[in-house]
Amino acid sequence: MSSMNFFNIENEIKKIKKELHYSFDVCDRMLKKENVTIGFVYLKSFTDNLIFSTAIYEPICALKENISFESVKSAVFSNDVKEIKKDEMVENILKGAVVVLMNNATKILAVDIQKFNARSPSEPPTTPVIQGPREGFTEDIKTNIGLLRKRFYSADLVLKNMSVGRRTKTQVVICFLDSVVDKKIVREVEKKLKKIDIDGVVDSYYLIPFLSSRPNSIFKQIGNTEKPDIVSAKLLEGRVAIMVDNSPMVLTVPFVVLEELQNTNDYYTNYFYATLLRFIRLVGVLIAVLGPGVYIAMQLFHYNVMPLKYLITIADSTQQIPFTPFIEILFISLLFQILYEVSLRLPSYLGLATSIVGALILGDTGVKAGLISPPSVIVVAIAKIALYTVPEQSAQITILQFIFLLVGASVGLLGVVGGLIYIISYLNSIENFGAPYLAPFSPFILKDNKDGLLRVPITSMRERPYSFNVKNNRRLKS
Amino acid sequence: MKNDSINIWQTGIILFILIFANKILLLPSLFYNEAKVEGVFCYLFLFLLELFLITLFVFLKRKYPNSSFSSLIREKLGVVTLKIFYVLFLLYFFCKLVLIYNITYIFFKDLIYKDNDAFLYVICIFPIINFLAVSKMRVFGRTAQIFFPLIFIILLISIVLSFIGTKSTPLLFQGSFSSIFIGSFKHISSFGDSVFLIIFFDKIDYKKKDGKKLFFMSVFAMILTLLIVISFYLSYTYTSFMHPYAIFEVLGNIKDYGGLGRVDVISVILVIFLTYLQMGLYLKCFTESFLVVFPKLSNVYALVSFDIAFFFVVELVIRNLEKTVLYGQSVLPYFSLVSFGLVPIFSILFLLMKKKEKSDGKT
Repeated sequence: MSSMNFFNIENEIKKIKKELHYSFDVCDRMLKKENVTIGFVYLKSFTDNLIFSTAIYEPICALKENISFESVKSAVFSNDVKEIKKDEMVENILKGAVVVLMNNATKILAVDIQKFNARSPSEPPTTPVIQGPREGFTEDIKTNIGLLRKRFYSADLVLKNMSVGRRTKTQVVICFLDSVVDKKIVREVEKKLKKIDIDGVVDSYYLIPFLSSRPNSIFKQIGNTEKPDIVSAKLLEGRVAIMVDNSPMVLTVPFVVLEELQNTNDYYTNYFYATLLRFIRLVGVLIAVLGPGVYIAMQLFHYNVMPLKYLITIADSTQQIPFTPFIEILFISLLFQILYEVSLRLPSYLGLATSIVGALILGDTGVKAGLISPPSVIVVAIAKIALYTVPEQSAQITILQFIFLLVGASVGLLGVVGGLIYIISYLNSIENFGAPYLAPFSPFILKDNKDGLLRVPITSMRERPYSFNVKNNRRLKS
Repeated sequence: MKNDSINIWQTGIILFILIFANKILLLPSLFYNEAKVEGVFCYLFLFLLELFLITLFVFLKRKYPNSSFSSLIREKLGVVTLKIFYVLFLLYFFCKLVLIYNITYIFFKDLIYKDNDAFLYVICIFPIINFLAVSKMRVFGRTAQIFFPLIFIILLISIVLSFIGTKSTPLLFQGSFSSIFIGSFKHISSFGDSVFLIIFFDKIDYKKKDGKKLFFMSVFAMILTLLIVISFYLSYTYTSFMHPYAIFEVLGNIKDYGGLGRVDVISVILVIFLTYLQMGLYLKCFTESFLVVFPKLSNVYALVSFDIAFFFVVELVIRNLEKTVLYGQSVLPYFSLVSFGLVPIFSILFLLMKKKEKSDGKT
């Protein structure tokens, strides 16, 4: 091999620094030993000095004779040591690796000793746990992979790595169980991810529109969770998980709306009780979406079909109200929404004060002052509380609530039912990764209903879902 | 499953909905007017015709599982016959839509929109049925499937509660046999819903023994309809002809049952669901027929022409009970007899008797 191919270490380091625009955290070190010059380039912000010293520098210093590329490679302590090409140096440095160059070698070494202060797995705030594991994913993808690996001591768990984002080059990992998943789904996920040409991916939410079949829809089409036990269960059902570095939220596909009625706690409690809870959640969603709309429709258009006792109660309490019923309900709904937004953004010690001001003072005084009627306050309050039986869908339900309120006030019950038929038809037209959105209710899949609105014991759930394709449906061997 | 097809259960559910949809409002009182309590036999007679058509469909589906009805007619009877048949279907569905629209309009106006303008009804119904008509058959089938439990439960509650409210048993054999046939003929336009099976012949996934499921669903729907009619006659006996909205009236007869309060409002909800689904499907049938008659045009043309023509006709056939009844009893029975009875029955019998050729042409 001609000496022309060897590296001029100083020149190479200069080139790297120039390419990185002389950023202050680019660090380089030189080590001369037995006519061999070894150069190290890394980012201070990613690399701990002590680890660099003990894992790379000192072991190389300890080499006695015949310092070669191979001896250096075997001397360093790291789980991730790889040979890279010259044009991959900057990318590897940016990902936190220490690039090792030698003037007697034509190859380059990238040693990953990145140490980043990630928070430890804790109970995610979005999914409170009553029973069951309390671990949650973190922003560090390595930790997240570890949390998943811990649940599958099997070679069946496959992790495919790729990067997305022209500038951020964010690490994205596709996870699936090889013997269970339908490879078409994996290929479709890969294809969709490869097609993404965006400058940066800051969080996993950035990928959702690219993976959805109807990106402009208000309805959620991709599953997301912060809990490794949920991801594991979904992988076991034959779904594909997508992890994104710097995001604790892991995406899962295919997604069906039924997943929102299910909750992890359902699987860690009595199945009769879990079934009851699922029915309550469904009723909660219906009340939240249709409650104010139906109430206003009945009050404005169909008071003649109302039972007399209710009609008298409502008429009694609304006759002194200066606003129309629609304005009244809209006002209370908006007030609630404003209070909700404020309580989310305020520090917790102020949150309580806002609740008192909102719920007690504004509500109570409003009724006493004759500005709002008690039945309207009750209807809106029930609808808003019911909304949080499925908190993951609260955004969509809130939008629908306002739409149905408007429809109910404009055209009455006929419009509310028409709107409901329209929305169900629209949802029926959505299919993501081959899974009908409303499965297993429509199309009705009897076997999948064992874990639908009903939750049968685990011993009776012998098969994986039929709502989407899986390689192997058998789950429980008798 | 094909990309835009429905399975046999979804087909059965649609058939179930159509079978009782427009037969539980005006019809029981109209039949009573014609044939007294023997109006039940009018139902039975016309249901038998319906079952005959379903049987023919099953036989034809077994023989030509992948063909469309239009391609079969084109192949065996020629293009001119095809066009004539589908023009008849087109007009048939249009007339049925006008009839259903009028009946439901009067129902809603009388009961829940007393003080409101007619335009309110139009702006509710039109966008939704147009949307259902342009959506895929698979989407329609799934939508019907998801609402089926709700419709079924309301229907079941209505039947159970209505029998609780019955007063006495009216006498049978007050009407003559001829009144049964005259009554059946006059109101034949409210039947013939199974024609949709022919229109969407190629979009129905049919496997061996699926015929039984289809019969089960249709006979079940017929039994439930008859139960509603019987309970209506039992509730109102000799004054049945004075009560135009059977399903609402049978529940209105029960005041405050078991602390439930007024329960007749559930029948209004039931009728709203049925109206949307039935009109949506008929408009879909209209669009399909339109595309066979005018193959170069898209379904947008079908819907626009329907909307304009419908608006015009509805304004002429003005919305009152007498005119609607007159409309349903004068020209429509003859026309329905041809479109629902003669055309499909004879064409299917002809196709069944013809030897099957090797190429099973599919459009």
